[in-house]
Amino acid sequence: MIAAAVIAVLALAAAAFVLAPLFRPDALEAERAAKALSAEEDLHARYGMAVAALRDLEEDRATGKIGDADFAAQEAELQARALELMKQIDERAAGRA
Amino acid sequence: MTTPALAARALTRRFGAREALSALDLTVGAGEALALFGGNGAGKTTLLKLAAGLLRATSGSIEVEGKDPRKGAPQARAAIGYLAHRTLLYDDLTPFENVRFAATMYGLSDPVKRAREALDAMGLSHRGDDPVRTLSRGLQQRAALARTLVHRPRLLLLDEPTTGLDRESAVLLVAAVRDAVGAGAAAIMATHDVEAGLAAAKHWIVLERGRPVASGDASRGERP
Repeated sequence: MIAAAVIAVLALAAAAFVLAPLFRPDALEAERAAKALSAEEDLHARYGMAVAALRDLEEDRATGKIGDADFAAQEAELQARALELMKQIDERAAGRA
Repeated sequence: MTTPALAARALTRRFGAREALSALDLTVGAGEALALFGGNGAGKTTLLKLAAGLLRATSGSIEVEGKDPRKGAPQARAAIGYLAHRTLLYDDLTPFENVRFAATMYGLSDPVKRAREALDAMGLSHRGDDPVRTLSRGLQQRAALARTLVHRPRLLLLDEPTTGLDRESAVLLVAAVRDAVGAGAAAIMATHDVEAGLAAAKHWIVLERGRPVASGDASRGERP
């Protein structure tokens, strides 16, 4: 019984020693920054895709691949998506400033 | 069971009265490439835009790595690389500057190194410091693919990537896609170029008016 208690205490002490750096303010800050960067990376990638798709759409209409009705429907949706992503990027940038 | 890179179930998209994609079921796993063939209006580009989260499905569902591609998730960060037929390059910058800019924007840890590696992979190092506007269409598209691949996306969506390319550039582009797939990425390539599509992808389907009308395995010599 006493041996088990001693082992448990030693295991807890070892775990605390190993995990302590993760709970220091600088480590938490680094982790928060990494997560924020990941989200920002994702938003930029999505925004780039929306802009690329809009450019292609214009070309598709110019070359007759799609008609005016399809163009209008897709342009509005793609523009709305690009603006939505731009707004999210701006909000993140403002949050960092 | 492993979550597929892309899974579409009864995926439908209408534009007004026209059904661009009709109840499509499709699964593409990690490390797999799929070529999408079909004429104009077949639904190829619509499928890519839905997969990229740029358009909403009218009905049915589409998931990238088990998630709605319109919703960002930290674990699915920048999972998608989308190469359109018009490039997103800045004409007055060099390919290196363009790719480094993208690498920086994506928050990569060593953007200079990653940009150089991406340009090397596309055989573009020798023109990496010339302004984009001085490059041929083929070299510009190679630079665009380097930009698309620089953050090592896990799902590549390629819309007519070989249009206007000379054969050497098309071969290099296909090789880069195969490399990415060999490294574990999934790829979907919409193309009119049957040879490039079959060289890039093991599996293929033909879409017609939003529905698959034929499919096959290029490794068994099956052709559309």
